[in-house]
Amino acid sequence: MDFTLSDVQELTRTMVREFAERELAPIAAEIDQNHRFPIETLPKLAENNLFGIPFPEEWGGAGLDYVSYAIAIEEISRVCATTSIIVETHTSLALEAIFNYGSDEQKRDYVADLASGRKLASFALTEPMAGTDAAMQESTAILKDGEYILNGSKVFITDGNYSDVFVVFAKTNPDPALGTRGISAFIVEAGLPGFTAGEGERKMGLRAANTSTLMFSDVRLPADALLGKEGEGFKIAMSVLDAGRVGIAAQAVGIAQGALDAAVKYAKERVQFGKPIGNLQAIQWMLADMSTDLEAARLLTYKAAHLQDLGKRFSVEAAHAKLFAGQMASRVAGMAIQIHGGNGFTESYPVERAYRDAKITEIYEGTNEVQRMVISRALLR
Amino acid sequence: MRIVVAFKWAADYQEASVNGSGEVDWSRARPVVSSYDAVAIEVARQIADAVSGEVIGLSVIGEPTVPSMATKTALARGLDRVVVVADETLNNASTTQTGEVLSRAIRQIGDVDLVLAGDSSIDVAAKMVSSIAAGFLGWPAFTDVGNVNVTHGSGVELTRPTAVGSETFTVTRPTVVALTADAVVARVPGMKDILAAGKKPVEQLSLASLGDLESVPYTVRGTSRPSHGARLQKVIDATDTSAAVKQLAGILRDAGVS
Amino acid sequence: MAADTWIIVAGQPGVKNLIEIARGLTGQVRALVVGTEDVADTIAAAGVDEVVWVRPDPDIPLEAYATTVQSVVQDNPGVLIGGRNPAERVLFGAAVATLGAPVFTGVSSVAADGDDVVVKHAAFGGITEQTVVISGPVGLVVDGGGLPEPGIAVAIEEIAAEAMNDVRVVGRSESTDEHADLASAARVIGVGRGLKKEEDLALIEELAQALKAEIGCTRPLAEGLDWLGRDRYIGISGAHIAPKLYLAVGVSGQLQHIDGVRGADLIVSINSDPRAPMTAEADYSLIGDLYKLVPALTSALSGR
Repeated sequence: MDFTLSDVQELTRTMVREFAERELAPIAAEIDQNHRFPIETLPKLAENNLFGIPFPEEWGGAGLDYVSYAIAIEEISRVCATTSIIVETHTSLALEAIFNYGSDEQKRDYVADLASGRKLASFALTEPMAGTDAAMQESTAILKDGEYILNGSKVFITDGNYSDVFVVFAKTNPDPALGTRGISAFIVEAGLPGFTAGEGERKMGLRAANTSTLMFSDVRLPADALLGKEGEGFKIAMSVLDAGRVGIAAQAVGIAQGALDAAVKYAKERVQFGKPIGNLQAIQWMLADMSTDLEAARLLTYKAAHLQDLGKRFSVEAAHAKLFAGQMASRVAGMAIQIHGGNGFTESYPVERAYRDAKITEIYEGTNEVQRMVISRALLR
Repeated sequence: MRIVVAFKWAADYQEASVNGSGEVDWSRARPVVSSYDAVAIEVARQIADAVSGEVIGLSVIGEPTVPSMATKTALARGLDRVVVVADETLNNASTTQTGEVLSRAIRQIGDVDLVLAGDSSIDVAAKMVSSIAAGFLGWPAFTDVGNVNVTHGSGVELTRPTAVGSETFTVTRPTVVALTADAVVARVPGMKDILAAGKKPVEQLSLASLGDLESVPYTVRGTSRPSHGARLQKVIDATDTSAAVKQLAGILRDAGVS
Repeated sequence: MAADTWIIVAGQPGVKNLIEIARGLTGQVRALVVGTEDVADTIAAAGVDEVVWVRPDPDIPLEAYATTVQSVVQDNPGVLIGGRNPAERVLFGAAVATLGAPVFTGVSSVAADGDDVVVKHAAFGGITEQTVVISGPVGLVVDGGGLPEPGIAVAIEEIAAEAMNDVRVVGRSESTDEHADLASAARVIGVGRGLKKEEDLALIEELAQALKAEIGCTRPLAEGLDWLGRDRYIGISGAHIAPKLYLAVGVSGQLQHIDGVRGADLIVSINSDPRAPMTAEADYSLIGDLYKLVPALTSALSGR
């Protein structure tokens, strides 16, 4: 057993931290307060090859491993969680789906453009009536005269107003007897007639991230827009969500690290009773607990990513990591505010943003409850 | 044009701790390629790209082998290849010895047109190695240089400050240039640069192959913690701004400085 | 040891401290001047025993006279002393290389001990002090310390200047800013990263006016942010000051900065962080918001 990070993984941390401090830190608070999507950051992320980290170089990726990818997400999230969800959805969900299930033609058409960051991609599974119960898809894509006719709507789609390419799930066979096997996945390009995106949601956290509805009204898709085989959609969704959960766990770890760093700094600087509050045992114990909590989540996350690198099954480990890391991030960010006292409740300090951003990591890409289902099913099988 | 960038895998002295008798403990200070060195690599890369030149990193390290992180970090920042002199006897090498070893290695590399370095290391911070290396080479050196531009062929134009302003020079011969940390903004390497760094050549030169050194050794007789003079270290709580300012104004008046 | 000392002077005569250090040793004190006749004259009257003068071509940078410097010192190895300015460091480095002499910066004392030289100096950016023993030539980098006191002049021996080829001066500029003279100021306000924006320097300027003080700064403000000229940077590789009052505003107090202000009679710090190292280096520290304290202090000082 070896807990040492490789040179590549260490370098990834160094370089992404430098990138985040230089490019993201100056705008992180502003974009959050203004609910402003950081469109100017996208070319910078592309320039530094941050849109295709774990994909092979011959496909336009950076050719790094999944642990390095998790470290990159962590370092971006430490400074700006909004930016990390742009990278995470694009990479772990959309690109992962197209790379793993796309035909040679589809990979040629999309992977290089996406991995290099020339195009941005979204993942469209959730519907008003199909949240945690993702199998309840109401969107349909019915084959007619060699084309699929897509109808329906999606909600909470990250980057919905900005992406060029969407991986969209819909029922190709509405026969209820087929269940999840009636669901298929499609690659849908923005701008097709009948495809519109609604306005971005105003959210509690990740406020600068764009989250919108998608509407499909008789959108005609060529037959080769089908990703994988007909009826494979649900399998594809569940498989890439495993990868996504490692990404979200890494995001939670990064948000918590940012909150802990801020709390440590504050504990050294803030004076009460004539000395820095870091001298008080009450604060010291909180910091120690935060650090322990964080390190446990980090190890669960790296373990899941490592299994991913080894090509082994990692569904349960991804669920462990996401379940623990998401709750940890909320706890740690909450304690960071507690250490900051009244100051922590204001927008003048970064911890209130961390607290708001942390909450979603317990919800999206599978709620805590879904992770518990995944874990307990494996136990009771 | 062949450019050598001298870089050092070292930790910032501000991260080291010092005990009561002045002994320095570096164990919790992480070595890095400093921001000075990153700037030197960036300037070299920009020049080399403009004239299709080559950028060779050169580092001297007091360990039997060079840590792979040292070379990869520097290579990811834009070097084409690295040459290292790694030898345990260079542990705690003097500034002059380091300059001499660099000069020998530059000769060994051969056909070098320009040597770039950061103006300072971040551990010793003597700001003398570049000048000394140039002295051993018999080349001119320029320190505190804020910018270097290629003029024609192998020539460069550079600017360094004077007491009253600055002077600009053209140099059309091999030279050593030490750059300020703000000469350019060094790019943050991308993820592709990380993997590429591991594939670039690293050559290790043995110290013996560079010949006997002429630098005079010295011995450290002792260390002590710097005494900071007897400052009063009085803390005035300034929660009440006007009371604190009144108190300070009184102190300044009594000391005869206001 | 009875070895002689060479002071390497490059372009400017502000080498008072170098001469003082040299005078603390036995043996002759020789100055090698690469600079104008004025500089050579000033040094000749500065209390040295001998001046060797290289008259540089104004179209050639001082640095190109490195080989001339080497040929002068190599016949007479001993103690070499040089300053910190760019050209000073280059000519000094060339001299040091010729003799293979170890180099020490931040020198606080030098003494002969039999045939050896014992040097006490600040090592690793000043975090520790080392006492080192050298039996042979040695180089000392010393902060200039301003113009030496004029005294009786010794004779100047001019030698032929042979510059390296292919190095030319193509431009000179003088800074439009008034040249800061921090070294001789009685009151200096030092500004650090506690100041949030360049525009906020106006607050400091008002205080400086009320206090009749010069403004200096920490390194990042002069080199990274460019808010103030480099001549205003105080620290181990910048200006070393010795005012009656040093008022540090938003200065964390890194060792490299502290090294430049040790000579101050009274040090006062205004900082929001009581754990800032500056607090331990100050006589008085006001712990609070500089944006409240500085304007209040300005009006308190000008209101009387």
